[in-house]
Amino acid sequence: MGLLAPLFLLGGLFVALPIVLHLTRRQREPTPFPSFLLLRLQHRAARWKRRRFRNVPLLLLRCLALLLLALAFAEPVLEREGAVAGDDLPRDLAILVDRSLSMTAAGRFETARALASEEIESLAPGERAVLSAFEDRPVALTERTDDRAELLDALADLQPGDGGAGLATALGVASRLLPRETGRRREVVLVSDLQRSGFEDGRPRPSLAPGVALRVRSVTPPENPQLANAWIAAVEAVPGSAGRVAVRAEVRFAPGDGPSERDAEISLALAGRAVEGRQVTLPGDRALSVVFDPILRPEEPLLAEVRLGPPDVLPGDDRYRLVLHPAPPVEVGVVGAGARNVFLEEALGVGMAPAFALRAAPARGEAAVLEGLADARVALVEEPGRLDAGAAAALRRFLEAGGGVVAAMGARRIPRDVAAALEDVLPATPGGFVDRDPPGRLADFETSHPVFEPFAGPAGASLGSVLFHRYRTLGEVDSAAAVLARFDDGRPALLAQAVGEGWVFLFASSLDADWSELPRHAAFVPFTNRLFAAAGRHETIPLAYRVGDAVDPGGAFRLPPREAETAPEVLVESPGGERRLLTGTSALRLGEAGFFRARRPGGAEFSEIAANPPASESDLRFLTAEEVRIGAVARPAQEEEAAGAGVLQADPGPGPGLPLAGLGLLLLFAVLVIEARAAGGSRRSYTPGTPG
Amino acid sequence: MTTARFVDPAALARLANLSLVAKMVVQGFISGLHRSTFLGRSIDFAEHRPYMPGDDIRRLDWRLFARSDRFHVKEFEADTNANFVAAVDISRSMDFACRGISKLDYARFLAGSLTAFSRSQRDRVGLCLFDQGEIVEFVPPSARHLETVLQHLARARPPSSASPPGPDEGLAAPLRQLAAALGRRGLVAVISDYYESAEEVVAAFDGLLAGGHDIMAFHVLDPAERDLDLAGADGFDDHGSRFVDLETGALLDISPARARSAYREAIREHCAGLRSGLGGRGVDYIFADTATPLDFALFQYLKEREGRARRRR
Repeated sequence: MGLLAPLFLLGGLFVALPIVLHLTRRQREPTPFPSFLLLRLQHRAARWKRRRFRNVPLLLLRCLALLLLALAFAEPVLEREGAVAGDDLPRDLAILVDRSLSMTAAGRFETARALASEEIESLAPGERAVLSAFEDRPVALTERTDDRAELLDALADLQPGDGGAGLATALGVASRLLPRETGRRREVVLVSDLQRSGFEDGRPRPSLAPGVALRVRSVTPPENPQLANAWIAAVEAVPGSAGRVAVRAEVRFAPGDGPSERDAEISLALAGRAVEGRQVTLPGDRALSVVFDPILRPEEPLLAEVRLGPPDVLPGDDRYRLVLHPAPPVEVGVVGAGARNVFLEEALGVGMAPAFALRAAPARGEAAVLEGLADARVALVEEPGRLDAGAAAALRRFLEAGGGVVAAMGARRIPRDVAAALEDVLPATPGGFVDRDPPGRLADFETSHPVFEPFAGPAGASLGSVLFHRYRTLGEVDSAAAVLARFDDGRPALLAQAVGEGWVFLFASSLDADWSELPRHAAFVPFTNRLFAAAGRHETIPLAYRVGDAVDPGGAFRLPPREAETAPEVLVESPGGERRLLTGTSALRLGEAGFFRARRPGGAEFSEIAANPPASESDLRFLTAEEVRIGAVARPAQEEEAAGAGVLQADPGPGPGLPLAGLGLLLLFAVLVIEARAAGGSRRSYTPGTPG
Repeated sequence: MTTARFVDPAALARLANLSLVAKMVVQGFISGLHRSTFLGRSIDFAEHRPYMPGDDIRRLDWRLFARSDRFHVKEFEADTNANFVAAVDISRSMDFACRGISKLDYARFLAGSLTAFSRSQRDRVGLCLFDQGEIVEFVPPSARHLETVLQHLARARPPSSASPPGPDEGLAAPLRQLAAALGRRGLVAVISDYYESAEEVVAAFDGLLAGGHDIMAFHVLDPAERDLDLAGADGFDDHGSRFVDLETGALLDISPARARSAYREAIREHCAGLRSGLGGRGVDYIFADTATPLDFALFQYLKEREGRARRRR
C-alpha cells in the first residue's frame, strides 16, 4: 500500500488531543456518605483503584477516529499485483505542446517540435500517446494511439498561433486525456517555453490526477531566462476638435539582459498605406506614448495598423491592428427652445466621445415636432409648459421609434390637456413647486447607472454638494420607472423609463441656473454628457479585440438585425481566409491575429473587427521547470531534474491501484457512530436518578 | 388502623411549617388511636390505695367508702405532668439524603411530632440539639415551650464544614451534659444515626439512666445508606466510586458492589448490638429509616411501650 499524500499523516499527531482531554477532564465529584465507620471495614476486600484515564474504550475510539481521518487524507492506495510503479510498465503519454505566440521567439517552436518528436520516437512497442497543443485552451490533435507515424504527421502540421499560453488550464485538462487503466503508467509531457504569464494571468492552479506523472521539457535555455522585446501594448483613438481623431499608441520595451534603451521606428498605416512614421527611443521597462497627427474621422469604418520596427525576437506583437469607426455627433433636438441655455450648450460642446449637436425644434403640432426631430437621436424638453398635446404625441412616437427624451422642469404651468398627453411620455406627472430654504441637495443617486458612473466613490461628494433652490414634485411615478436620484427630502430628482424602443429621462429641476447651482458646478459637464449619451443610447465601439476573446458576432460587427422569423446567421471570414457560418447564438472565438470580416448571408457589405495577440505574450520572462512543478503539481513529488537536458521527471506515482481513502472514511464513519453511542451511554450512566 | 393514613415523610418535607407538620402527624395519629385499644390511657384509673394523712380529700372515692366504710384514694396513670425532652443529633452525618428527605429532616419531623404529642397529653416539653461532643441548643422543659421547641427544630442546621472528630466528641458528652441539665425525671427521646460502636453508644446513656429518665433511642438511617445502594447519587458508580465522609471529609475509594453484602451484615450487627445493649438497660430502641411514615413510627413506639407497661404490671 502506498500513500499519495503522506504528509497528511502528520495529522495523526492530533491523537494527543483526546488523550490530554481524557487526562485533564474534570474528575467526578466524590459521592457523599454519612460515615465510614462501617464502610471502612470493607475497604481492603473491596478496594477499587481509580484509573488515571477516564473511560478508556471511549478514548481508544476517539484516537482511532483521528488516525483514520489522517490516513484518509493521506490518500492510501492499494497497489495491485503486477501494477507496481516502475519503468517496466508500458506508458500512456499525453504530449502537450505549447503553440502560443511566445513560442515563435528565437526559433523555440522548432525546438519544441524536436522535443515532441523525441518523445514520440521514444515510444516502445505497446506504448501509446496522444498529441495535444494549447494556447488559451488545449486541443487534442490525435486520438490516443501507438501509431508513431500518425503522431509525427500531426506534429509536422502543427504551427504556432497568436494566442496566449494557458499553461495551468492545459495541465488541468491533459491528465484527463489519459483514463486510468490497469497495468499502464500515465505520464504528461509538457513541451513549452514556460512563460511566466501563463501561470500569472489569474487562472486557477491545476492539479494532476492521482497517479499521473508530469515531465516538463522546457525549450528555454536555463542561461537565458529573459529575452529583450518591444511591443505595442495598447492603441486608442483620441477625439479632437473639428471632427478629427488622433491615434495614440503605447509602446513598451523589456530590455532583458541587453541594453536598457532601444531605437525604434513606429508608423501608422491607414487602409494599408503608411501615413506617418516616427523615430523613437524606447526606455527600458517603461511605457512610451506616441500620438500620431490627427486625421479626419472617417465616414466609413477604416482599417488601420500601428507598426513597430525593426523586427525583434517576437515579431507577432510588433503590429497592432484597429478599426477606426465614424463617430457622428449625437443630434439633440431642443423642443420648444426658449431663451438660449448657454450652460447646456457649453457643457455638451465639451463632449468628444460622443460629441453633441444642438438644434431647435418646434414645440407645437405633432407633424411639425416630428419633422423637427427627423435626424435627432435625443429630444430635449426644457419647458413642458410650452408643448401642446400634438407635441406630446410626437414625443411618444419619437420614443417608440428608438429616440431618447430628456425632460426638465420649467416655471410655466402645464395645461391640463398637455399634462394628460404627457402621461404617455413621462414616467411621472409633474406636480407643484418645492422651494427649499435652506437649499436642498442630491442625497441619493444610483452610481451603477451610466449617468452617475463618474460620481461613484469620492467624486459623489462633488455632485452631492450642488444646491437646489427649487424643483417640482413628481407624483404618481410609473411602476416601470427607475428612480436614479433623490433629493435630501426623499423626493425623486431623476427618473428613467423605457418607452417603446427608446428611453425617457425626467429631471425634477431645471437645466438652467434659475433653480439650482448645478449649471455652474463642475459636475454639470459629466452629468449632462452622460445623461444625453444614455438617452441617445450611445455605445463606444472597441478599436480592437484580443486573440482568445469570444464575441457576439452581431454586436461586434454591428450587423443589421435579422428578421425575427429567421434564425440569425453570420458569415465570418478569418484573417487566414477561412469562412464560417455562425447560426443561432454562437459566439465567435477570435483564434488568430488580424482583421475578421463578417456579413449577413446575402448582404453585400462586410464589416471588420481587429484582433491582436494578448499583451501577456509579449512578456518574455520564463519559469524554471521546478517552478512549474511546484505550481502545477499540488501533491509532493520526488522529481529529479534530468541531467543536462532541463528535463524534469515527476514522480511516476504509485501506479494503477485501488484508492483506499473512501474505505478509510467509511471506517471513520463507523467508528464515529460507535463513539457517539459509547459517549452517550457513558453520559447516561452518570446522570443522577438513573440506576448505575 | 390502615396503612393508608400514614403520612409520607417526603410529602411532609414539602411543608415548610414544622408546627403544621407536627399537628398533622399527631392529629392523624390520635384519630387513629380512638379506634384502638389505647384510648384514654392517660386518664385511666390505675388503682385504689388507703387514704393517708395529707392526701387531697377531693380524691377520695366516696362510693367505695359507702360500700366499705374505709377511706380510699383513686389514682390515675396520667394524673401527673411529666417532662418530655427531644434530643436530636444535628451532626453532618445526619444531613445525608439519597432519594428522599434527609435524616436530619426526618429527625426534625419525628421530634416535632413527639413533642406535639406529648404536649397534647399536657406534658412539659423541651429540646436538646447536639453535635459532636457538645450541646448546640437547649430548651428546658416547660408547658409553654411547644412553639419554641418547634421553632428551634425548624432552624436546626448541621455544621457548615467537616472536621475530624476529637477524643471526646461522641454521643457521651452531650448526653452527659443533658442529664446534668435535667433536674427532674422525665421522658427523653434521643434521635441519632448512632455512628459509634454499640458499646460506646450504650455507655453514653449512663448519665440519663442514672437520673432515672425514661429513655427512647430512635435510630434513623437512610435506606440507601443502610443498603449501600446510592444509585442516582452524583458520581456514584456501583463498580467503583470515591466516597467522602460527611463527618470528617475523608475520602475512600471502594467498589460498592463488592462491599455491599458485608456492609449490610455490619449494619445488621450494629443495629442488633444497639437493640440488645440498650434494651438490656431499659432503653427503648426504635429503628426507623427515612422512608418509614412518621405516624407509623410513633404507633410502633407506643405499641412497644404499652406492651412493656403491661409486662411490668
